[in-house]
Order: sequence, then C-alpha cells, then structure tokens
Amino acid sequence: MSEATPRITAPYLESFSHQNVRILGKVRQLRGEQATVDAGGQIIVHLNRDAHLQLNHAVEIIGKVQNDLSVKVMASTDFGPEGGIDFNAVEAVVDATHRYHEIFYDKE
Amino acid sequence: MTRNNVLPSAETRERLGRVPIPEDVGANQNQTTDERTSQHTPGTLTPDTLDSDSFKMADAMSMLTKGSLLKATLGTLPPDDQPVVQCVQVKPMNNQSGVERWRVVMSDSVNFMQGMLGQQLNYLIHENKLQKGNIVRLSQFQTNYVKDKHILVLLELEIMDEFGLQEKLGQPVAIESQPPNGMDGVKQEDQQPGNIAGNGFYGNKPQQAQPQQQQQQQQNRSLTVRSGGGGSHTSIYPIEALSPYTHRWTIKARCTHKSDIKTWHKASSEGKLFSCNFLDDTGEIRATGFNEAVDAWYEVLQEGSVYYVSNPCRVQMAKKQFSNVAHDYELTFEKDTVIEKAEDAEGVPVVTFNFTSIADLQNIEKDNTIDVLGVLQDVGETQEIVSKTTSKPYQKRELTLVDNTGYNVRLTIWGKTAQSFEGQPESVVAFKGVKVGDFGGRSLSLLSSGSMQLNPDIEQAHILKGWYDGSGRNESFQSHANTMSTVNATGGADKNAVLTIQSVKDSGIGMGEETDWFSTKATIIYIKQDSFAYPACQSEGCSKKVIEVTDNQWRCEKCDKTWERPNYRYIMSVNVSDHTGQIWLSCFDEVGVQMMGMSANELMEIKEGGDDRRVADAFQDAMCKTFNFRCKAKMDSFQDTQRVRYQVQYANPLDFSREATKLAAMIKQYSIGESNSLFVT
Repeated sequence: MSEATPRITAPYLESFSHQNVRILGKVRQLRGEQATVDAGGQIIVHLNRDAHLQLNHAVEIIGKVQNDLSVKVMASTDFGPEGGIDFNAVEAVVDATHRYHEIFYDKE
Repeated sequence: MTRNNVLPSAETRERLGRVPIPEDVGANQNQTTDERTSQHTPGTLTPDTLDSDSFKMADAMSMLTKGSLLKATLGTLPPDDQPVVQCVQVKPMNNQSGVERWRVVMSDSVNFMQGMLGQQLNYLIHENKLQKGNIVRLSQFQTNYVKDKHILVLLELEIMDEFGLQEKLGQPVAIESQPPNGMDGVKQEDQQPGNIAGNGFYGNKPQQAQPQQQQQQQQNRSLTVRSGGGGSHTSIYPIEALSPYTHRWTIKARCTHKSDIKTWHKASSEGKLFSCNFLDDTGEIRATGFNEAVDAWYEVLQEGSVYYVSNPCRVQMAKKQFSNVAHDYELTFEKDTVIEKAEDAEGVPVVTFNFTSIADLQNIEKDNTIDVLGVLQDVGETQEIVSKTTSKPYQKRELTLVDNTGYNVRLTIWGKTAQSFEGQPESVVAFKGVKVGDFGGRSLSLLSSGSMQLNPDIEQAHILKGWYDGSGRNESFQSHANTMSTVNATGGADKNAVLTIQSVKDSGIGMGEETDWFSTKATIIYIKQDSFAYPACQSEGCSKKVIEVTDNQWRCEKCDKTWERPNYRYIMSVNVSDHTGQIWLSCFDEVGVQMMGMSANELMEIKEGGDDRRVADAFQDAMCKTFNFRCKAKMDSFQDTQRVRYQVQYANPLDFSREATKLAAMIKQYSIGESNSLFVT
C-alpha cells in the first residue's frame, strides 16, 4: 500500500483537491461517462472504462478529486443495493478517519 | 369508417402477417358497424390511407375469442384455451382487511364478465399496464360461481400492447346466470336494499334488486350490519353485538379453530366437549358444545369454512382463561341450535392476525398471548416426551423463526400440530395464539387454542418472503438468548456485557462458586485437532457418550440402547483471540457445527477415510472466523489444580451493522470532553 486513500464524503472534497480519495455512496444518476453519487452530498464522478455502476446501488469509488470538485474514477466496486449498506457505519468511519487522521493518512 | 378496397403491398402483407381476402371486401360497406366489425377481414387496408386507430380496433376485434367467456362459465372451454378479451373496466375493491384487490370486467365482445385480479397481478395496475380498453390474453384463470354470478379469477394474463387502448368492442351483454351443475344452495339474503353498493360499476343498474341480477359488489368486504326483519337468514347479526339480551340472531362466521374432543370423568359428572372460534368482520367469539352437541356438530364444523349459526344458542359470560379471543361473551351450543354451512364465504374475513415482531418479544411480558409471523429457519424433529406430571406421552417439535427485525426465536408446537407439521425451512408461517415464555431468553409456545398458517396470503407474509429471499437468508440473527433473563444475577457482573478477553481473565469471572456468564467477540485462531468429537448416543436429545462394546456395537448406558454407529458430537477446544489476549474455550456440538461448517459425523467419516488433507483443510477453513461467544465460566478441579473452564453456550456470527455501531460508540467515548476544533465540517 503505497499511497493512502482517505475515505471522504462530499463536504471533504475541497480539502482533498488533487488527491486520491475513497468514497462510498449511492448511485443516483447515470449519464454515459458521468454519474452522480450521493455521499453526504452529491458528487459528480467521471467514470472509466471498467466502471459499471447501477442505479440505487452502493458503490465505492477510488479516484482523484478534480479542480471543479468532481472525481475522476480510477477504480470502483459495486457494493450491492443501497439497502444492504449501513450508511451510519460509513459515516462513523469517515468521521473517525478525519478525527484521528494520523492513523489513516498524512496531513501536511 | 370507410375502407379502401385496395390490397396492401406484399411487403405490408408480410409485415402484418395476414392474408387478404378480396371477396368479402365489397359486402362490408353496407352493413351495420357491429356486423361489419364482426366480419371484418384483416389485411384489407391500404397503408397510405391507414386510419391506424380504426385499423387496430378492427384487428383487435378479430382477436377477441368470441363466445369463450360463455363457454368458460358453462365449463365447455377446452382446458388449454387462452381466451383473448378486452378489459372494459378497472376498479379497486374496498377491502376491510387492507388487502389490495382490483376488480375488472372482461368482454369478448359477445358477453362481459366480472372478474378479480389475482394479487400477483396487482403490479399491472400499479404500472398502468392494464387499463380500461386493453386487449389481454388470459393465460391462466378460473371461473367461480358466486352468488348467482359468474366471476373470473385472473391469475396470469398477457397484455397485448400492440392494440393499445380500444373503445368498447362489440355490444357485450351479461351472461345469463346459469349456475353450473345446478348449484342452487345459495341463500337469498341479498334482498336487502342496503346491500346494493357498487353503483356505476360496469353493467350495474342500481335500481335492480332482483335475485337474478346480483349486481352488488361481489367481494365487497365492507358489508356488515344489516337491519333486522324477515326470515332468520336475512338478519345477519354482527358477532360484536352478540349478548345474552338479543332475542333472535344469526351470525355468519368462519370457524377459525376447532379443538379436539375432550372428555372428562369426575365423580359428579362425565362427558365430552369441544370448542371452536367463530370469526366475522366485526369480531371473534368462542363457542362450546357439550355431549349431544358434540355428536351433532363436531363433524359438521370444519376449520376454515363459513357457517350460519342461529339461536337457540346460549350466550354467556366468557371464561377468559380458556379463550384467546377478545369477546365478553361466549356461545354454548344447545339441542336446538341451528348451524348451516354457508355456500359462499363472501363478506367473512379469513383469520386475522395482529403480529408482534420477534425483536419486540423482548418487551412482551412472559405468559402473554400474541400472534407472530416469521420465516422458518429451522424445523426440528418430532420429539416424544413423557409428561412428568401426568405420565402421558405427547409430541413436541421445535421450530426456529426469524423475521426482518434481526432476531430469531424458538417456537414449540405440540401434539397433532407437531406430528403433522409440514412446513419446509424458508417458508413463511403465521401463528395465532402463541404464549410468550422466557426459556433461554425468550421462547414461544403454540397454545392448543392457537392455530398456524403456512405461507399465508397476506401482505406482511409476502414482504417477509421478499426480505428473506433478498437478504434475510444470509443474515445472522440475534438470539434473545443473548439477553437472557432467566439467569439469576448473583455477583455484581452485568450478564450482558461484552468483555474483552483481557477483562475476562482479569475480572476473575468464574472464580467464584457459581457459574458466571459473559459474552466476548473473538476470532478463532487455533482448533485442537486431536479428539475433536466423541461418539454419542443416537437417541434424540441424548448426548451421552457411548462405549464400543464390540465391533459396531455402541452402547449407551443411560438409554440402555445399542447402536451400530454412534452419533459423533463435537467437543472442541478452541483458542480464540481478540486485541487484548487469547483464551481457550470449549465448544459443544451445536457450536462446533457452526464453526466447522459440517456435522461431526461427516468430519469423522473423512478422517476415518484416511483423507487427512481434507481434514486439515476443514480445520483451516474454520480458522479466523469471528463470533460473538456467549460463555459460561466455572471453576473446575482438575487433578488437584483449580482452573476456570470456559464453555461456549452460543456462538453468534457477527451482524456487521450492529458491530459497526458498537465500535463507533466506543470510538466516540474516546472523544468525549475533547474540544471539537478538530472536527472538519
């Protein structure tokens, strides 16, 4: 594991511009190369060739945050229907990640 | 609508798949609309001047299987026939029990017939696929004759979208109310003007109250109280209103439960009795019959059928301790009581339930009677027990029920219900009249006055089935045993606390006189591979070790029985660990099976077969599994040393959602009191 991919939600996008991040959210819209994922807020993601997102499924995206706060997807994993995921747990992880960021990533 | 008499091009013909018939074309022009459309020959149109709607209509008309509805009612329709009809009306049915039901009227342009959409087809209405005007093919249906009227019950149909929505085709008329096979036992109690509802429903003329044209809502379940007067069957009394002060009454109700015939022999009297529960849409009441009444009515009354019961019949104060229905009074059959079977069950609900979810069971006090709905996770074998008190043998069977609140519970059924139980695991079962006990936390027992239904056709059951098929099957369930209320708390320890292994060792649990309970979440890191199982007696419920007297002769001392093969049961020493330390736990068969994923017999077979590799693999697979172990700790004197032994009672697989919440709460504990300056919003 060379590089850390801190787990974030929409509000954190600004603080992680140009960095690789991990997002777990619900797929809300699919528009060809683009999609909208809801993770504490709407995030526009630009899909790559392998990304096969399904509407109303939970998906984990690993990608780079762009200037305009959209995310360019590098890898994605489908987590199944959004009902199967406890998003409170996700929220708790994100919170812990940033509260105790020393464990999870380097913050300059 | 005029039509050009030009043949379509070959291309069009092919596209339409029809063969034009030139001869008839000219004759059509001067006929009435009906005749023309009924004789319409397809394909005689020009694509250029195509009036697509009329084209479709004419075509649709030809698709309709005229006369098929009449044949269906007479029973002369060939069995594989799938009539094509037009839906000319769609209306929802008012239904007291909340079940969504749609009425439709289908026409084959010659006749129309009222019908009911099977619940599995309700989605067609929701998605607007089936509307007034659609042409449909009836792939699966039945005809019933109810209250002098033929009713279609639609189980499966195919919407022929290519015809879209059409105006009413033809001039269909109602089918003559000919009862099939001379069935004429239907009571004419629908003469009451108050009964006629459903005004404006297709084909209904509100003024008609003739018996021939029974135009009321056939399956209207909101029909209840009818004012008195007239013959005994015209005044149906609601069960709710029964009291000792009513003079004449007749109830129309379903027998929801019939008990066995019980006999008693006392010094003063002896005799026999049976009891049953009657249900109508106002309530339920219990009824008992003694001696002659048993002879007269026991065979007549069948569970699930609807009957008219009229006085003379005694109405008395209810003896609540024998009954599980909520009614102040109860009935006692007399010599002259009149009971007649009702031909149609219209207006009478089937058993109604008031379910408690399994998670809520925790909040229900012991000894309460409830109804429960769940998915069968496990069905035990029928066990014969001899009662300690009466020395009579009886049967019992244990079932494990789960539902979508994440809990499981054991439910015991007795006697005949246990013997004849046919429910398969993964089916949905509804139980009515179940007593709550606190054995092992929470347990349920089906009362003799209770009943059960396998895969009931109620919405909650379907929801549950859907949930189970989706995620429920793989879900791990919290057993109420984790919140054991039966174990008396001696000593200060909180029985339900989940401890880290270090605290288990530190706190000296088990060091005292009595056994202590605790829970811990830990991962299996090693399983002792030698002597992981012992040969046990095959008798149901007996797990005593059997001794191999001679080859293939295993004897159990307790049961005094000999078996050819023993039933191997796990007795494993496992080393489990969490982030604070490791500890040895001993597990018995049930937990062993959970860990190893196979029965001890299976594993022994593999081992005795010499396939050591597979044995090693099996143990390997079992490792690194994390469970919530519910353990008992007690002091053991072993060869002069005193040691605390930890035994696993239950091992529950992790419910990740629940565990995540616990961890999040723990983490939060660290930050209590900390300033929130680090918190990035």
